Amino acid sequence: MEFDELYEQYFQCIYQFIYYMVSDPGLAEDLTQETFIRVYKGQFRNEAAMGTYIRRIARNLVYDTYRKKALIKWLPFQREHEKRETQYVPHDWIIQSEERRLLYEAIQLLKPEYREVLIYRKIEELNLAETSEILGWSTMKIANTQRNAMKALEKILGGDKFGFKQTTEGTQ
Amino acid sequence: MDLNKRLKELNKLPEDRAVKARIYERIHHKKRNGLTIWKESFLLFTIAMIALFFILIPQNSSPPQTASQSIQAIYKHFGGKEGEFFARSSSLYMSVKKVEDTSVFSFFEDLTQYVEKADGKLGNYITDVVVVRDRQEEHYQISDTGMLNVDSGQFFVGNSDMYDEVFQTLYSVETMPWIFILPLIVIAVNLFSANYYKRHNLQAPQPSKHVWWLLVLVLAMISSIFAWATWVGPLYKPLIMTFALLYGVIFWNFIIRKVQTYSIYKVETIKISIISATLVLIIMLY
Repeated sequence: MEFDELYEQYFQCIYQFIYYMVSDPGLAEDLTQETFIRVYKGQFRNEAAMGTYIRRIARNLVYDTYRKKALIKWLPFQREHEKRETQYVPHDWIIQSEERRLLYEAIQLLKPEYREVLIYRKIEELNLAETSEILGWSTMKIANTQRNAMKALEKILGGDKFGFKQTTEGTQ
Repeated sequence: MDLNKRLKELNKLPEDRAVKARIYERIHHKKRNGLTIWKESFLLFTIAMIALFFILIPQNSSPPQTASQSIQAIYKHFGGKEGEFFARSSSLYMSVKKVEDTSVFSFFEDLTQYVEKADGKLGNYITDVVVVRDRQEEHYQISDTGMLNVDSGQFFVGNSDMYDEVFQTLYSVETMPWIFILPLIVIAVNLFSANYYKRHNLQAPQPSKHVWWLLVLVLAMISSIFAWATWVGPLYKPLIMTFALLYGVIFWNFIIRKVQTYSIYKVETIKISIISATLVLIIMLY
C-alpha cells in the first residue's frame, strides 16, 4: 500500500486516539506527524496488520510522552517538543455538546491504561484480538481492564466530586 | 443515553482538514529533504573514508638528526618470540611503535661499535625492530642477552653501556591490556540497558534473523582477525577499524529503522556510542 493511501486511511483514527490520550492539539499534531514519519521510514510490508502496526507506534509515542519527565530526565539532547508542558485544550466539537464535554472530561480523569482500553474497545469498537495485538496484553487482561475502566468512568460520571452528575442507570 | 452509545459517539470527532494537510505537507517536505538509504550509505562511506584517510595519513615527523641521515625510521614491537617476527615498518599495525629516541638511531648507525658477533640465544624478553635504512628494511630482534639480525641470521652480543641503554629504551613499552576493557564495557552497558528495560517494562528491540546472521558474520570476521593477529602477525588497524565500523553501521541501521520507542532509541544510541568510543580508543591506544 502506498504511503498516501495509508495516510488517508489511518490519519483520523490515529489523530483522534492521540488527541484523546494527550488532550493537547499541538502535541497531538506533533505526535501524529512523528507516527507517520516512522511509518514511512519503517518499511513495513505486512499490510494485513498495518493498522495494528501504526496504532502501536502512536501508542508508544504517547507513552513516551507520559514517561518523558520521569524516565528520561537524565538523558541529554532532549528535543524541544519533549520539554513542553502539555496543555488541556478541548476540541470545539467536544464543547459544542455539554453531555459530550462531560464524558470527555471524565475520560481524561481515568488513568492512561483505562483510557486507551476505552478508546479502542468502546469508542473505536475494535475487537479483543485487535486490541490485544496493539497493547500486547492477553484478551483476559483487556476484558478485566475494560470492566474496571467502565466502573471507574461510571463512578466519575455519577459522583458529585467532579461535578459530573449524570444518569448512568442505562449502563448497568 | 446508554454509556456505551455515548462513548461510541466520541468516535465521530470531525476530521481537521487543516491539521491533516499541514502534517502531510511536513512529512512530504521531510521526505524530500530526508536521507534516503543510498544517501545514508554514501554519507557513512564518506565518513569511513575520511577516518581511514586520517589513519593512513603519512607520518611526516622527521627522524632525529644523525650524522649520516641514512636511517629514515625505526619501528619496534615488544613481546616478540625467537623465530617469529612481528614488527612492521608502519605504526598502523597494533603494538608497533615508531622509535624517536636519538640514542637508538645512533646505535643502529654503526652496530659494530657496541656489539660483537658471537653465537648465542636470545633472552626471554624480545623486542622486534625494523630499521628503514636507505629505503631498505633491516630486521632485528634485541633481547637482554643479545641481538639477532633476522635477515642474515647473525647473532650479536652486547658489550657496552650503550647496548644496555638501547635495550632498556626499546624494552620500555606499556603492557596495559586495554583490549580487556572492551568486553567489560559491552557487558556493563548491556546489563544497564536490560535493567532499564525491565524496570520500565519496555520490550528490548530484537534484530531480525538476517540482521543477526550479518552481525554474527561480521563478529566472526573481527574475531578471526584478532586470532590471526595474535598467532600470525600484527593487527592492521585500518582493517579492524573498517570491520568495527561495518558492525556499528549494521547495528545503527537496525536501531533507526526498527526501534519505535523513543526511550529505547535513546538508550540504544547511548549504548552504541559508548561501545564505539571504547573500541576506537582501544584501537588508537594499541
